[in-house]
Amino acid sequence: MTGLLKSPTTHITGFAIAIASLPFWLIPNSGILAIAIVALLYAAAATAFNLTAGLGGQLSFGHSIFFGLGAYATALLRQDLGWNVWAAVPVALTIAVVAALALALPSARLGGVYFVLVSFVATLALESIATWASDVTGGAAGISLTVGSPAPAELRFENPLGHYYVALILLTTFLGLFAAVTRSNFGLRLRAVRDDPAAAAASGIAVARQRTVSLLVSAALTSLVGVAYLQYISYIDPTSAFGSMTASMIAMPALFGGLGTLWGPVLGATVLISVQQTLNPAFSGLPAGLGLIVFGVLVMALQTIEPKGAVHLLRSGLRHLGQRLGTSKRTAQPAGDSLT
Amino acid sequence: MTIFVQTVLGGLLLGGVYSLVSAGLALSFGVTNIVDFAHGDFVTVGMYVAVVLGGAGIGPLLSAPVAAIVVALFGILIYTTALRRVVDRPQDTSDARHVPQLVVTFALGIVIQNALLLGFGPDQRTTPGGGHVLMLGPFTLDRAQLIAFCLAVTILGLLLITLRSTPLGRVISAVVDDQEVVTLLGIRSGRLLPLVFAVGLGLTGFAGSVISSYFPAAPASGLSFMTIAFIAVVLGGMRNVLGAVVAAPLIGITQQITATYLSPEIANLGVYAVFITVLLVRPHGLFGLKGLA
Amino acid sequence: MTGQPLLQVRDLVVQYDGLRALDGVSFDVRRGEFLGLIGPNGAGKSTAFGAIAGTVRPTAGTITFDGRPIQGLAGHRIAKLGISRTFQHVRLFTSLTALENVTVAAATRHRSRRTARLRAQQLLEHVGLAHLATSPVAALSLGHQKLVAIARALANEPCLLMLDEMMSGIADHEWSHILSVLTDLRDTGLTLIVVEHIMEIIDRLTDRVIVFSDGRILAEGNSLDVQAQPAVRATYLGEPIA
Repeated sequence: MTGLLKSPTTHITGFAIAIASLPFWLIPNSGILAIAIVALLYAAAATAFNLTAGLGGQLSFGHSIFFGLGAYATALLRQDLGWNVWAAVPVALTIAVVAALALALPSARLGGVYFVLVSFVATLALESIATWASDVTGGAAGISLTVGSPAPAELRFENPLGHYYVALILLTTFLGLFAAVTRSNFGLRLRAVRDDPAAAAASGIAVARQRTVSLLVSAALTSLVGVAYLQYISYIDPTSAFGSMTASMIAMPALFGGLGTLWGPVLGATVLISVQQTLNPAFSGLPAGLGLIVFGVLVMALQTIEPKGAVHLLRSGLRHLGQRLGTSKRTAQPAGDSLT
Repeated sequence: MTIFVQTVLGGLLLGGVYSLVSAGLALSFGVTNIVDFAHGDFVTVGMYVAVVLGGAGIGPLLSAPVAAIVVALFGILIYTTALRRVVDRPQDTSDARHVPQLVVTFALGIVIQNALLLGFGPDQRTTPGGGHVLMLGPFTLDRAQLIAFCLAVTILGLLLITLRSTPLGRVISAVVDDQEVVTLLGIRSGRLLPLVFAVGLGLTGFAGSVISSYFPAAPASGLSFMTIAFIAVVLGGMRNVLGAVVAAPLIGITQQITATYLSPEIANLGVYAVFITVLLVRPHGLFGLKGLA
Repeated sequence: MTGQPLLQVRDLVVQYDGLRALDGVSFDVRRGEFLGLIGPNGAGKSTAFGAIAGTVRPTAGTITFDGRPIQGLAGHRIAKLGISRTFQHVRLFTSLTALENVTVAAATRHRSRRTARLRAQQLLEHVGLAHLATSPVAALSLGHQKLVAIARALANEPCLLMLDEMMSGIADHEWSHILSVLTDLRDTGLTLIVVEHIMEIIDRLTDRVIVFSDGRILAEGNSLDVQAQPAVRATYLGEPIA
């Protein structure tokens, strides 16, 4: 029974049910719903990012590459060829995987800071290309899809609630996958590679292969978020696809919440995306810039206080509180790092 | 041919100031091991110092020393409040050891950009003067760029001489070469690191002010300078100040060639392509690993 | 026992930037032998380990293991061929438990997760750490960490095990435990190479020692004989040549 309570599958199921119920009692209006959809989408992207960055130690500051490619592929296929989203998905996945392979080529050899820089430069390069190749991409103006009549079977909803549940399904699936990978032999190898690549190689682990595979999986998942994002917004441009802000909006929730933890990216996205979206001038009427200042200060403060992330801070806070209240029995258990 | 020479000349002039920005980054990375994702935004702060002083009628070249001091002090403040806690621990072997400082500096960059947006609005700002063109045979040179180039070369010359021939400079060079020297020499790294970080940022702030004489300031201007500086530092061999100084003009030239022969919109694309190619072929930079100067 | 040595190192050179860490080193290791590498710090012993295990890329020379050339192969391929090593600074996977550290290496030999885990448990028991299996390795004493490192290296099922400074920094009360583990390993017939500064260990365990100095081999032979040589005493023990 306690095993069941501690199992990540139970946690993920509980989480999914709770979030699925929110629109019925907690989310009051379409404005908040819009923020929730964006937060869920970025939580999903951050979870995908976490798979390679958190477990594999391969910190990509260019996951927007896969997000943007997914969004652009869908937008172009829908606009130019009249395909529906389901036909676009395999194409988006393929393109993202090919891009990840190209990125893995240098990174398998370099790792560390070099990979951060290469991935960051690669996403900026794609931003340039998308702006330049305006015959295909519409250039800086981007692609605006005509909404047309709603078709739920093609993920085009009249009520944004449909997008909310698509985002939730993505996030739940990714969380389940992350938990499964963490417990698998593959996850163990990834964590070994993250902790010490040279020692991992000496233990018979093919370091480059673990890194490459984790990047491919992560890229494929991230491209799906790009597809879902496009279905929701019906618009994409080079900066919102590949820009440095998108890159950081994918990475930051995981880094803020706790790299390598199951719930870190979700917590991080909830906090950061809410802050960024609610302090947005369009939403709150506050002057432009304030939201992102708060965003940045929060990240800096947390990182200097607890580099392991908000989940760790929260857990030690809870443990502290639990001991204070004398009910330390449950919270004081040494939580297995890998599954929290 | 004239167009080509003109293009290379233009790139070289831009590259002088890129060298200054890159030297700042190489220096602070070499000594503190901080991969500073806010580096470009410190350039922007320097530009805005020039914009503010420009409002009082002071030209960007005269503002440059002030910008250097302001940005250096800002750097010390940031270092002591936030970065000090996340500097690299050399004994950590994990691949993720740079994560905290990347996060902090990236977030810092976001804060700086948006603080500038809040304070000055999204519009581009310029500084007084500029726009003068000199003729050199068939070639035209932007006067502000030429002066900026000469200033950058002078400052870099002074920097390299300082690193080579003063006692403090030699200590810094030794630390850039080998982190363990800090412990071996028993250097109070608590004071050395912020100092060198501040010197690197001083150069950067100086460069920012100078750049504003020919490049309008906007809150997000820093991104492209940061990218250029990173690429110059990697091409130069990470811990190699001279390498970064030499690589930066190559970037300026690549940028101008791409802009002239392909499209100005993708001037940076050529640079990215060169960067990724070099990393694939010579992962430790154009000039090999060691050696400060 | 076949006549051919298990490991043959010929004219091995490792050059880092300006420094020649190994300058033309040749030696053989016989099957079942316990070989000690000694010499001052920076003499090239750990570099030799690195080159054999694929952690360091040799600049020149050949390394033949079990009849096939292995120089320049990736570390994990060499590990799969049957060479395991530990590191001077232990280098465990710090976010994993002791058992996970060993399991991840065992899993390179056993497809099933269960078998890998059982083998890992067995090995931890073998080095006397079964009771600490679920501890995060960061919480273990240095001596215990070194034992986990041995178990992790053994999980690769090596024919040749290389141990880098097992005894340095070990607390007194852990000394005899680690020594008995090393003795057990020798008695199983595994081929072992150790880098060690503590001569008592070298004298007690090794069949043969090789003395490194400045990236070259200075002397080779029985531990006591070698230590008697004036050149060895001069470079290694710091005594002037009489």
